Amino acid sequence: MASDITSAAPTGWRARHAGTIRQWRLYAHLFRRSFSSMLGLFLVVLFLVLAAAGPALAPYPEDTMGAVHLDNRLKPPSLAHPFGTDEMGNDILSRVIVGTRTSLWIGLIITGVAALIGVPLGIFAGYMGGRIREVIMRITDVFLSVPGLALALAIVASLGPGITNCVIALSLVWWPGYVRLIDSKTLALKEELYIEAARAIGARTPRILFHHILPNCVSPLIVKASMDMGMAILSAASLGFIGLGAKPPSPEWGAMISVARSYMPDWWWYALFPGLAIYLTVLGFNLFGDGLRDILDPKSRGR
Amino acid sequence: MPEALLRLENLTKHYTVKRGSFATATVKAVDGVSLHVMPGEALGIVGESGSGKSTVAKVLLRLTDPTAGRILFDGQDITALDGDALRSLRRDMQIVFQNPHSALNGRHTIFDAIAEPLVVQDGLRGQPLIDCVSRLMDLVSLPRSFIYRYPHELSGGQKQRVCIARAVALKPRLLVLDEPTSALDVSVQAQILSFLKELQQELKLTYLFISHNLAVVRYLCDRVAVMYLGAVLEQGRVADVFDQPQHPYTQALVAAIPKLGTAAGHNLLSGDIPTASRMPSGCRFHTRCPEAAMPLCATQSPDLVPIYGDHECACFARTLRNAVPSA
Repeated sequence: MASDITSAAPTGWRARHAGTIRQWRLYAHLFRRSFSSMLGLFLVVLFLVLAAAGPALAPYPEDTMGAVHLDNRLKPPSLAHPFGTDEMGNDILSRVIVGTRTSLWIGLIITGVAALIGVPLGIFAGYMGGRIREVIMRITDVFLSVPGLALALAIVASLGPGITNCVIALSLVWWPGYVRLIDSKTLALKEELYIEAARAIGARTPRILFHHILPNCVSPLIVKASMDMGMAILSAASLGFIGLGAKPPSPEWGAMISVARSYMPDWWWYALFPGLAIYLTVLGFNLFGDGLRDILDPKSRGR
Repeated sequence: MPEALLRLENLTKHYTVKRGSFATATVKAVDGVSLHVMPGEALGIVGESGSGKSTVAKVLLRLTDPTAGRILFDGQDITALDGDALRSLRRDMQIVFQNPHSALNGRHTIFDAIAEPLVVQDGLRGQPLIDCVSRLMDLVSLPRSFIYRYPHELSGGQKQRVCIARAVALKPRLLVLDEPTSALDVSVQAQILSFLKELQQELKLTYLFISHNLAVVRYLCDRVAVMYLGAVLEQGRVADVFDQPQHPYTQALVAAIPKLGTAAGHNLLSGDIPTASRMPSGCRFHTRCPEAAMPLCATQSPDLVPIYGDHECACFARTLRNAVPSA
């Protein structure tokens, strides 16, 4: 040890982050070993690409903006229209592709707002303990005791139907899960010796919360958020299906199925392809989240 | 007589624990401890697990609040200090914990760990911060190439050096060492101990050294206090206490040190330390005392009585025996 004591401190980004890079390469290696994780990653990437480049990839972009081709109504899948056409003669493939972007926004906003509300409340409740924690957790329990979708339904009903109100309602019912997750994690972390060491050094509470506890909560947070993306998209589609979400002409998956319901089963392709899009998106985010949990939180791996 | 750097007066820490849904019990972790540490000296606190050694450390550093008693640091009463006054006090007293593996945040690099006190207390940043951290790493003989590594890439001894660098970063006057070597393997223990001894002279530190290892205390400390069930039973200069132990408990501890050539095992204590929630009546040691206990032992608690110089012992039998020749 004495011989290399004079060795200089490493310089350059790569040298300074050698440990981090090694860690990520290990993660990548573990992730690649699992087929279901890779399938999840593939579906999520496909979803993101379609969302990013949606209108450019859609074969009939004008069909997503309320065009009417009455001569083309309810045509079965063909080379010109791989997913068939709907009752307005619009290409279903184009509408499914363009709907991806709507779904991505819905998923991102709902999980984002939920995490923004839930994480500070959870970390605060867990670290402060006592009365403050009791109050926060009991309010959370009230929200958890009502089924989320039922509560969201009530909120949308009072705000009026529409995609924006639907996202607001779902965001408002989504945060309690994050409070629970972060609260329990914080409760465990605050007993760690390094938290006491930080206090002994004179660190203030905000520093302890956001510098010591939050970074250690990130892995379960990422896992939950990636799984919730799928569930949030599914919930928004459910509200669209019962007519409280996006309005039917707009290319939203739930709203499309809602209209397609009356054309079942003879015109099966109308409901099948938007449904498949929802199914694959939810499946993708769930498998991806499972895969992330396996590498970020190896103890929970069921073996 | 010069002013003591740290003085504990009748320090008491009781915890209330739940027993079932309604009943509660009081755990007397520290029960009326009075100690002092002179500037520049090293005071050892020894005792078996559960004797309240670590609780004394936590309370005197104001990491938990005492139930009763006073803590005086450099003549100033710090028992009720809070807010910014407490934060700036942390500069002057620092702690090195027993287990370096859990005392470092696994998400922070060695740089982050050593820089934290400098950032928190002095608001240091940029190049001066890097220079300062590098100097501290040199001080504790850590290679500078370790600066951006994570704790899990280091060995136990190296992690403990990081913890020591963190603790001395603010140039504290009192350093509490809470069993700093007991989580390390033996060869590393010796390294860290001799390093701590050098460090004390180099930085003119005052040590409060907590340990259950008598040999280590003898090596590093000037004075020693023997704790049992939250109270001090005997204290004095290391040579006095270990060569002429007065209290039956200290005698048993000293006899338990393995020595070459002699059969160990005589005068060893049987049984475990009683729980601090059901404290024995009278002298807290009488349930395990190998001496024939007097009736008084079971009813009254003995105080620390001077034997000679600053060697003090809390035992009725000793006080009586020492009193007889002089009478």
